[in-house]
Amino acid sequence: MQSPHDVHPHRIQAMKRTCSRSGTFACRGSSLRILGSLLVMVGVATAAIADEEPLVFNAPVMTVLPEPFFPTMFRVRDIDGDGKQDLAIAGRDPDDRLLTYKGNGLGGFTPLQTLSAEGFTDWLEFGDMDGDGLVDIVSAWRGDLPRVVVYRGLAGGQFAAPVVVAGIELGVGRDPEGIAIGDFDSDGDIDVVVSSYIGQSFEYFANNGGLSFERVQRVRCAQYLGGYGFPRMIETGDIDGDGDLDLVANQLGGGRIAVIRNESGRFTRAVEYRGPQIGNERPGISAAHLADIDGDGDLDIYAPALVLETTQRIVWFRNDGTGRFNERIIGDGPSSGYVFSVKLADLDSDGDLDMICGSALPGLLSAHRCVSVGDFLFEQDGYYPFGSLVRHCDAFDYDGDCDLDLITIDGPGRTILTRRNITPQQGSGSGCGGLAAANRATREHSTRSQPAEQVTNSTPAASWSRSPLPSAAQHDWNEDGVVDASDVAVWLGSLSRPLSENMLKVTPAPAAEVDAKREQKQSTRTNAQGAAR
Amino acid sequence: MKLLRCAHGLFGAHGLFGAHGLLSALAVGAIAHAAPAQCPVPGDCREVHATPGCEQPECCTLVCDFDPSCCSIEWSEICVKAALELCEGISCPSAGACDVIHPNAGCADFDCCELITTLDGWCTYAAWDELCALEAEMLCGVAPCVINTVGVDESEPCYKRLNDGWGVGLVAARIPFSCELGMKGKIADGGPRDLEWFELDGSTRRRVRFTFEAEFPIELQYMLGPEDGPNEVKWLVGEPLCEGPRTVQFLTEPGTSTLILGTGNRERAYREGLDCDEINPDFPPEPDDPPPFAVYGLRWQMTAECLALADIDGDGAVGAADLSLLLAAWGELDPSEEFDPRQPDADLDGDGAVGASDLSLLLASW
Repeated sequence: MQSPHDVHPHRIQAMKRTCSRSGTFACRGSSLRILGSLLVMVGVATAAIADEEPLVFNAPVMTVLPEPFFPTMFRVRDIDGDGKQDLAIAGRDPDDRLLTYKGNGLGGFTPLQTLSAEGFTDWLEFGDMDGDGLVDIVSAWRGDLPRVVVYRGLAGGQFAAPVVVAGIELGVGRDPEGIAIGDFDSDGDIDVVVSSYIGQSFEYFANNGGLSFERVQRVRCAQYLGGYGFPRMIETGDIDGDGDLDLVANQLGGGRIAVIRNESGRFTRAVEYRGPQIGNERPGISAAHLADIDGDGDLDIYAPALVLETTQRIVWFRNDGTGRFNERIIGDGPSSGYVFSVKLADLDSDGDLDMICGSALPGLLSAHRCVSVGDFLFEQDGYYPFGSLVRHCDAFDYDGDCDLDLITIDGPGRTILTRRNITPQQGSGSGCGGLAAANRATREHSTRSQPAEQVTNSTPAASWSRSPLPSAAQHDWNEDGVVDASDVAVWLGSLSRPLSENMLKVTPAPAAEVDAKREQKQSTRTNAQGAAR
Repeated sequence: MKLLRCAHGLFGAHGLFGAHGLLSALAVGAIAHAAPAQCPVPGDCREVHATPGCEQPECCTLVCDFDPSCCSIEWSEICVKAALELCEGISCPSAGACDVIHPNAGCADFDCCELITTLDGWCTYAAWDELCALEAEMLCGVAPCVINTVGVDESEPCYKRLNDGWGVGLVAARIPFSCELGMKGKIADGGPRDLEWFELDGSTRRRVRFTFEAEFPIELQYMLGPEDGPNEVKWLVGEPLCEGPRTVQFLTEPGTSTLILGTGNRERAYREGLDCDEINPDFPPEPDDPPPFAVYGLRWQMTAECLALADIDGDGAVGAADLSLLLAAWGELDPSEEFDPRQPDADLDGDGAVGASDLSLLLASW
């Protein structure tokens, strides 16, 4: 079993099968729309491997969310049953809202429903929590009075007023940030696990039916650290192959991954893996996801590795088949900014997982084509400036053409950005046939043979650049005695308002600045050794 | 973060309560300066009422300093507005029993409320959750104690972080563990929190008895794995305050493993309420700085012994009693079950089950 939100090769295949079963007319329609319009292609048209096409995406479609909503993440689903993907968006909103948006099938979204909250909601999930056959939204309200809530699904894509299913009396932890759902005890209904950002723990609530929950366990993490681990997002999947759902989470402050195995409905102690040494530093780990990267049948973990001194990296924690992740492989990430979000997905249907990354300072969305699975090597094909902090990115087929499109969200800019995937799809069973073939033909007869006609607006990725870190970011946020990449990750993760203009100014990071950062870091280390005030 | 930082600022060395002898001060409701006679008196500081003064001493004093009429005429809307602005983070006393979860910050017993909110900033600003209630149950009404420490001093000033392993992001030293080790030291709060890391011998699996005592609420954990991980806390115990020496007996795992001593309980690490009482020469106090303040004493001591692997009951011999314990534990161990180092551990070979191989090891050392 795996997270319903992961895009694994077999999931993609399943999606393709679904599309095929539903007929190819819609898919061909999509392709005709593309062919009938001027393709605004963005992306760097260079391919490392002659046979591989670069990843190419259509012009961005942006949807601006209402002020002062600060989106943190989203989930995609056809909420209203019209066959098009819609969104539910969690966020930090002084006006206490949680939003659903209706998709138009072309990457644009319009408001569907505004749901009330009491406090910030950093995460949400879709699931039929009450077993009535309609999908509900489960979320957690952060703040002084933390609660887990369910918005029951109604007919027509609407949701009812929130029902508090767990409060402090039931043991909701301090500042619940991430949520994971799944049938953890294999009793047929959907249970909930919440990460407590300040509580340094995970709370597991079993669903007893009728929206009645009880807390079964509290699993601590980062107990041995002098600083705060700050657990953030949680993913679920069967990492040890025993047939039940285990948990994987990242620690924003601890720079670690926490793995919590499910043993017959109860979770074991957290086993934690530190981000690997990259150059002179340890990375901040701002997210954690599951995917079978090497196609060996087990779920691996991958995570963005935010570093200060070099270009960004992505870390693959390889599953040895037993649910242990001792081997860590470092892949290249975005060439600019500070990477905060990542998603692996097969964007060209060639059977391996490509990568999309979201970065901060400057905000960037980048697309990376996998060129070697075993070495975790990617070619950065696209590099698109977007906002100032791309908190969440994902890949979904929102236009029904059977390839995976990009959906990302910029927190400070309150913007959803989508890009239609127009990469020629490879493989015999790829896409819906028509689109991939038509796309390929178009490119071969025009764009590819006459690259000067291709419209590109991506920023050259030859040299890395980033905005200077504001002083606020350079603070020992996790209180571990060192100012490093984890603190920047914590700072980025804690933002709830737009950044000021001077924070968004993009400047190259010269060697002198890097040296200064090293000196500062060394100085901080020295001070930390001596200072306990 | 804001909550924690505010709480630390409020209750730390330079905070509102940064003064010597808080516990005695709590007993009389003392505050930073002399309180008006109407402070405290019944009446919610954040609600209008016809009588002067209100129930939270610090808040009452702050508001009456701002507007003396609040303590001479009535607690008017002006007083309430001032309270809302001036008294953020002041929550003692507030509605709700201290040992019961309730949705507001603070609790009704002033002394207990002050103690717990000093140790735990969340309880000052947010809901009085299960951790606040648990801490109140464990600590309120328990008198602090002084222990006469013996053993080798760890030689770590409490303003330094020398024996915290990689817990502070540094490659710092760990205290090498040896049989018949006896040590003493101090622990103070701050970020990073002070911990004592004891490096265990990973060359072989062995049985260790660890006896420890402290003047503060103590947590002891056994963490497996090297710096890069995987790291796993096999067990963590939080021991009652001032109930004398406590003992755990456990089998060490091969490979890197560490015994970590700190302040906290079984559910939460403490990071506040224990100022270091030594002067850091790199950051000497300013003349107007208040003296260091700690809810409890800072000292701890420990002794370690190595026992025979099969000496399950720790009586110094391997015999019938150990065999009896082994047979009683026969079978597979539940990996999701919390390990308790205060209970006999009969899984001598560490394979996750008590069986023939363990029996063989026991009989071999009979």
